Amino acid sequence: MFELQIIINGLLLGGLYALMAIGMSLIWGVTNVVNLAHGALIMLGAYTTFWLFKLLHLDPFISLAASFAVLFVFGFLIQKYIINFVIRAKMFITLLLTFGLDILITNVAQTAWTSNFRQTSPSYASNGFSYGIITVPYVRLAAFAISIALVFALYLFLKKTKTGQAIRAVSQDIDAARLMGINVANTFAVTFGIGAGLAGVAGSMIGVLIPITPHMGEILTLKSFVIALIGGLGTIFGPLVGGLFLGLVETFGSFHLGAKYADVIVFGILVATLIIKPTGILGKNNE
Amino acid sequence: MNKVLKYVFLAIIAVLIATVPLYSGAFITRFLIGVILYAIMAEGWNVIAGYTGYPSFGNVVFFGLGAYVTALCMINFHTPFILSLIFSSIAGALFAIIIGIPILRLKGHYFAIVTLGIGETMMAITFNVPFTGTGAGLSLPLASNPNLFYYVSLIVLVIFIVFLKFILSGRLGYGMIAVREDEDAAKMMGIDTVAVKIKAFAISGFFTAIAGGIYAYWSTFIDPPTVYDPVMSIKMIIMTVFGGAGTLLGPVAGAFIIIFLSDFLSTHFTILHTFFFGGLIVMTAIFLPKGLMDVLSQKGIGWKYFIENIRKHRV
Repeated sequence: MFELQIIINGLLLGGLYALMAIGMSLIWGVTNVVNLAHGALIMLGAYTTFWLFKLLHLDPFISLAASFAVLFVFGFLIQKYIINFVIRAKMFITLLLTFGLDILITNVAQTAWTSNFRQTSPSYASNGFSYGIITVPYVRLAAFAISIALVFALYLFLKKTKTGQAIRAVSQDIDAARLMGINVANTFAVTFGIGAGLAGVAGSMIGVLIPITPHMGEILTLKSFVIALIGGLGTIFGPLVGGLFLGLVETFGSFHLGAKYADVIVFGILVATLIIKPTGILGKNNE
Repeated sequence: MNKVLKYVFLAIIAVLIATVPLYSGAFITRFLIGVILYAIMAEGWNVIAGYTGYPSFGNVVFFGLGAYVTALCMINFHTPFILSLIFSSIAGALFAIIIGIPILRLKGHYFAIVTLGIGETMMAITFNVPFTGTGAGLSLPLASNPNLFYYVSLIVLVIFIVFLKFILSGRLGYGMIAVREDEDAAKMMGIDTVAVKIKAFAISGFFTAIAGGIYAYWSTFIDPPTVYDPVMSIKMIIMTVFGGAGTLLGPVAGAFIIIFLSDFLSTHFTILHTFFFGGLIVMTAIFLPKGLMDVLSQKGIGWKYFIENIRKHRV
């Protein structure tokens, strides 16, 4: 019975993880940039919701839209006016650049908002329903549902809309896409904006569940990478599988080995995946 | 005659550098120790990334390991400082070989992120195993003469540069550069690429661990967040890239300039210092991806050089 509770907790966490990582996976798959500032964007999303809640008493689940909008614009500008300038440089230059952005964003956040622990805590934060000895908190359930819904929304967006098709075209062949009249630079910027916006939404919901600090992003970047990797690049449902998997393994692992080792488990999965199947669970084998 | 003059000039500079603690105050000596330690680390990153083409984003792991080995040796077994440094360097090289065997098979982003993860993992492990003092950290005995650190680190840096110059003119050096330029072609030419990569990584770990050991005794206190700080890995990278990756003295120049600017800003313009490292990284990646040494080697430098850099790399 106890195991069942762990499975439920793991799956609920995993849904949120999936949303957190799907932005990184999308940006990586389309622009070939591994965005090491991803955790910092999640952190900004968490703060956006926190301040809207604290100053305007806006419900965190309503301010998700604001969080998406703010981060979309921010991400669009970063890609358009910074990352686009180095996108064809050596791979480690783009990694270095995004890490620089991460340090910049984190330091500014720390200067502006200090390192104090904060949390978005609506009145219903600890409510939930119980069935037998199993408890499901409403907040986690809602975060899970919204995450899954957004993953499907992204799938539909990429399949059905013109912008989505442009993004997929650019990810397949930049030159051919350009010949078809697609503005590659803008498509990259929109892709980064969407990735950042989803990271912001994930951050908003993470901020309801765990404390917010300017440095919360570091480990989340690594986790997002692991999830994107486990799921396999260039797939839309890969991060969903990866997120649920990581959520389950982490919850089981911290229960049996102790919460302190949660980060070590994440890393163990990373190395194991890279050695056994570098293309991920749903990834194609021809890379 | 010109040549003689040049050597005399170099000799004077060498003597001036070697005797800094005798004529300058503690403040300058302290600043230079920081520069030299970072120069050793940046040069360590240069070996594996600048010359061999494997950009490690977690070289701080060797620094932390070296710091902990020296600290534990000196606290528990009262070994002399220099002997502890030797243990640290061996531990660093061995660790590089052990992790290098599986991860040096990975390429591109995968290698970079795995090395980033190793740093985070070692931090988490050090927090949790009892004999490292966990999160409380370790306190080392106080050194009798603070100038000792200047001489030790300077000697290590000089040995490192001479050693690197020596291997670069030999089989291993050419092997490293061949791996960087085209690993498959290098393999076809009969180079044992696996051995080359592991040796380069071991050299990198060896010297970076010594820097960690010196730091531990110098600062007299270490804890996991300080010596496994991922930002330190990035500082090594930006110093090397800013100075010039794949050049012998670029990392040293990068370390000196960046630490000087950083210290200057942190004392005079505290707010600006907040933006310093991030801003510097962004600017360097966009305008100076080949580093300062490349700029210096150009004849007649103008806006064109920077615009050309951008034009080549933007989408």
